[in-house]
Amino acid sequence: MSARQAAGCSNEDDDSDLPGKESLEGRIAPGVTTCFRCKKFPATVSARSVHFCNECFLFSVRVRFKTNLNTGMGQYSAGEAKEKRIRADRKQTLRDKTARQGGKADAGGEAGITGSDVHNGAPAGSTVQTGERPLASSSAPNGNEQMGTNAHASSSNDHSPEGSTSSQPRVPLPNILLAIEPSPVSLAFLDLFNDSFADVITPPGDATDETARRRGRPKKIGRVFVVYVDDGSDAERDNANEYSLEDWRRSFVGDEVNSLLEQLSSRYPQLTFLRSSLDDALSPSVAPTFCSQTKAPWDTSSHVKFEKLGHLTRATTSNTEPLHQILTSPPPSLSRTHRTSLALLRRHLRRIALLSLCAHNSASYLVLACTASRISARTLACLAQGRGWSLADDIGEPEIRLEAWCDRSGEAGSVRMLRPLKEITDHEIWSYLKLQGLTAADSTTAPESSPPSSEAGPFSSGASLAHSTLPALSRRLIGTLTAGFPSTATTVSKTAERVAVSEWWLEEKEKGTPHGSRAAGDGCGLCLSPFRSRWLAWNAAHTVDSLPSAPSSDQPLPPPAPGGVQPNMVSSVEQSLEIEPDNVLCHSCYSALLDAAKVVSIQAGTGTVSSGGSSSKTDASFTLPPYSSALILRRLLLDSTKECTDGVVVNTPSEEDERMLREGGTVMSRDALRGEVAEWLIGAD
Amino acid sequence: MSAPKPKRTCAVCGVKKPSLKRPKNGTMVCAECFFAIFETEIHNTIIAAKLFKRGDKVAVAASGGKDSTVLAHVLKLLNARHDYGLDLYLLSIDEGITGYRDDSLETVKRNEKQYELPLLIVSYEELYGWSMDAIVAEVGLKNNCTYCGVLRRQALDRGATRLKVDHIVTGHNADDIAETVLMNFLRGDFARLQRCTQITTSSSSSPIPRSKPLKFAYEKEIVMYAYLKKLDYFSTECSYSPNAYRGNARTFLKELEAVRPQAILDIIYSGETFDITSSKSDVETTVPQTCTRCGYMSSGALCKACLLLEGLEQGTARIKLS
Repeated sequence: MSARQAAGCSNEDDDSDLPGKESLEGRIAPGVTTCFRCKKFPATVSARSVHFCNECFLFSVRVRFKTNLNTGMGQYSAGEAKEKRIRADRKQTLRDKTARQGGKADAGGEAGITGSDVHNGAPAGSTVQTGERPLASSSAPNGNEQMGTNAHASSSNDHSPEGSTSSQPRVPLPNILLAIEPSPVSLAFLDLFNDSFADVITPPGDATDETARRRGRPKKIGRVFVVYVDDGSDAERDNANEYSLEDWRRSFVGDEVNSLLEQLSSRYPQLTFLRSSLDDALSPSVAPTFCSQTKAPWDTSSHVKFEKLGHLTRATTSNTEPLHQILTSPPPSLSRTHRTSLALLRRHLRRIALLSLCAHNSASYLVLACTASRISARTLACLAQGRGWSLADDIGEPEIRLEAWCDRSGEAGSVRMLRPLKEITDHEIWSYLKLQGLTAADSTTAPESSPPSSEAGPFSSGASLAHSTLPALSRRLIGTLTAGFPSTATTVSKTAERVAVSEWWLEEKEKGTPHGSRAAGDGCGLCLSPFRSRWLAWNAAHTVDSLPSAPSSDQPLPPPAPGGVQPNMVSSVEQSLEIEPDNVLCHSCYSALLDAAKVVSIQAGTGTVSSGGSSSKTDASFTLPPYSSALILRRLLLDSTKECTDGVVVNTPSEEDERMLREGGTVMSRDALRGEVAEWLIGAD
Repeated sequence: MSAPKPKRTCAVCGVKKPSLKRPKNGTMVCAECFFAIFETEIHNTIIAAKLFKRGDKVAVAASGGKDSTVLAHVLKLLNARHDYGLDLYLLSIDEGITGYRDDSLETVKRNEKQYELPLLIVSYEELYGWSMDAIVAEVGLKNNCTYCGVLRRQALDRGATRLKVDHIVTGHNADDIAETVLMNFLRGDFARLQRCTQITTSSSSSPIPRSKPLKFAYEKEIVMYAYLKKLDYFSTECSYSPNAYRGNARTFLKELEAVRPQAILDIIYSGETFDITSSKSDVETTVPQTCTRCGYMSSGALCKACLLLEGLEQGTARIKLS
C-alpha cells in the first residue's frame, strides 16, 4: 500500500492515485521504436497503447485540451472540433515533413499551438511555448476559424466577432472560473490553460482590451479566476494514522495550500487566484444567487429542517452548524456508508460555492479539472448512488441559469460547466507533468503508487478504511481494468456522456436553444440536478419494511397533496408542515442527508443508531443550507400557486404509483400467512 | 448496576426474536416476516410491471440453480395466493457442460416432482449438434460465453414454442441486472444500456416476451430464502465462467454492496432513469426475416446462432474471434 493510500484521504475527488514513474516508459510495446505520429523520433511515452515521442505527446494533449475548451465555449461544434483536430494533425505532419526536408516551417497551428516548435529542435522535455495566436485565428487560409457569435446563447457575454470595427457595440468578454484542487491534475490543468490561452486573457487590472487591440491581438477572454474551495476533506486526511512526509500530496495540505496558491499566482500572473470554503455554500448570502426574491417571494424567515427518520419540515430558526461540523470535522471513526455520503454532500456544496463565485465574478464558464479517469470513476460512483438522472450534471457540461445574474443585468445569465480534460486520462496527465517538469512545491521524488490490486477488497489487510468509499472503489476498478483494457476510462466517460442527457436538454434543443440551459431551481433542492420525483413510491414497492398487522388498521395512504405539502400533517412542536421529500430532493441527496443525520447524532452523542437501520433513537436534526431551504420553499410555493391558478393538479402520483402504494403493502394477515407457511417454519417460535 | 438491555425483536412484527439481517437494508427480522416481505416484493414487481394476464401460459427458465428454483417456488406460491390464473411450466436447457449442467439437470427433475410442474428439457446437442464442451474445445475460454448466450437464447425460444407458452420468466436477480448495467458501461455497449434494466424484453428474433420477476430481489436474499425454505437447488458456478469479463463487474458490485447495500438497487434505479440521446433516426428498424439455414426468426439472412455455428463448422471461429 502506498503512502498516499495509507494517508487515508477520502476526498472523492482525490486523484492522487496516479500511475507511478515506471509507467511513463514501461508500457512501450516490444518492437515499437518510433513515434506513432511523426514516425521520426523514438517513442518514449505510451498513452492508451499509442506510443509517442515527447513532443508529439505534448502536442496531442494540448490540442485535445484546447479543442474541448473551445468547443465548450461555443467556438465551434463537436463535429467541427473533430475536423479541426484532424486538420491540425495533418498540417503538423506536413510541417514536420517540411522541416525534415529543410523547408521553412510555418508558424502556428490551427489549434493555437505553435506547431513548428513541436519538432523545431526544442529539447525533449522542454516546455513548449505557444505562439502568439489568438483563441481562434482569423488569419487561417480557409477562414473557418472565424470566430462567430458565441453559441452560448443564454449568456449576455457574447464574444466580439473577430476583426470587429470600433463602430460595433462592444460586448463584455466572458469571464472564466477555473476550479482547482491541491492535486497534480490541477497543476497540469493550469499549465495547459495558460499554455493555450495566455495571449487572449485580459489580465487583472486591464478593464478593457484596448491595449491588446492596438497591438493587433484582441483579447477573447475576460478575466480568469482560479478558485480553490476548501471542502473539508483535509480533515479526514489528517485523521489518518499513517501519514508519510514523502507523500506527494503532503505539500498541499493545510496551510501549505496558501503557499501553493502563492506560487501558482506568481507563475501565472494573468490569473486571479481566489480561495473559498464550504462556509460560503452554507452562508445565507448565497441563497439569492439561486433563488431570486423578485421572481416569487417566499418567507425568508422560514427554513427547512431535516428531522429524525428523514422528515422534512418547516422551521423558523436556522441551525446549519451540526451539518457544518460533520463536514469539516467528522468523527474519527465512521462507517464507509457515512463517509461516502459526507463526501457526496461536500461535492454538492463545493459546486454551490463555485457557482456563487461565478455569479459574483460574472463568470460565464466554470471550468473543472476532470480527467477521463475521474469522470469514469465518478460515473460508476454516481450509478451506485442512484444518480443516473443527474449524470448530466455530475459528469457532463450543463448550463445553469443563476437568478442573481438575471436580477443584476436584467438578462438571463447562466454558467456553463466545462471539462476540457475529459478525453485525457490520469496517466497522460502524469506523463505531461513529468515532461513539463512540473512537480509538487517541495517534492522532488515521484509519488509512490502501487498498481491497484483487484484482489484487494475492502476487507483485505492492505486496504485502509478510507479506501473503501464508493468513489475510492470506483477509482480502483478503473485503474485495475485500465491495466488490461487501456481505453476503459475513455470508454466509460464517453458512454456516460451519451446517456447523460436529460429530457430538459432535449426539450430546450427542440426549442432551438443550442445548449439548453435550465434554472437552478428546476432540480433537486440540494444538488440542483434534475431528478425523477416520486422515488419514494419506487422505494416503497421494492423494499417493503412493514406488514399490515390487522385488517382494520389497514388504511390506504392518502395521496400527497399537490406541491408535496400535506396540510393536515402537523409533526413538531413548531406546528410546521411536513414536506414530501421526493418532490423537492433527489433520491441520492435524501439518502446522503439521512446518513448525515445519523452522523450528527453520533457526533452529538445524543443517541445511538440501531443496527436495524430503520429506526433511530437520536434526536439529531439540522436545517438545510439556506440556499436549499429557499429553493425548496419557493418550489412549494410555486407548485401550490400553479395548482390554484391553472386548475391543473401537479405532482400527484400516477395511477400506477397509487396502486403500488395501496397494493404493494397488502399481504395476507399474520394468522392466514402462518397457516399457509406453517409447513415451512423452521423450529418453534 | 446497569439496566438490562432490551430484547431485540423483529423490526416488522415486533414480537419474535429476529433470526436474520436483511442484506437489502439491514433490518433484523424473523424468518416468517422475511418470507412474507420477500414474497410481497416479488408480488409488487409483478403487479407494478403488469407482467402477466389471466390465463397466460408461463415457462420458468429453470437451470436448477438457486434463482430459478426460488422463482419457480415463489411464482407457484403467488399464483395460488393471489390467483394470478397462470399455467406454469418448467423449461430447462442442457448446454452440455460436463460436471455442471448434468448435475443441475437432476435438480430440475426433482423440482418437477416437488412443484408438480411439467418439465421440458432442450439440449444444444439436439438443436445445434454442438455441446458447450465441444465449443470451448474449439474456441477456447475467451469468448465461450458469447456462444453460450446466443445459443441459449434461441434454445429457450424454441423450447417455449414447443410448449406453446405466452411468456418466459427467468431468474435474473437484482445483482445480475446491476452487473449488466456496470458491464455495459465498462464496455461502452450503448445499445444494450438502453434495454438492460427493462423488466420485459422481446425482439424480432425473440418474439416470446421474457420477464424478470426477481429483478429487485437481492442474490443474498434469494440464497437466504432458498436456505431457510430448504429448497432443493444446485449451487455451483459454471465451469467456464471465471474468465468472463462480467467477473470484474461482479467483484466490483460485491465491494459496493459491502460498503453500501443500497447500491445494488440504486444502480438499477440509475439504469432505469437514463435518457438516451439517440434520435429516432438513429434507431435501426429491422424487418423480421427468417433464417435461411434453420428457419428461425432473424433480423438478417442468418440468425446469430447459425452465424456462430457456421464459424465453428468451418473452423474459422478461433481465427475470427481471437
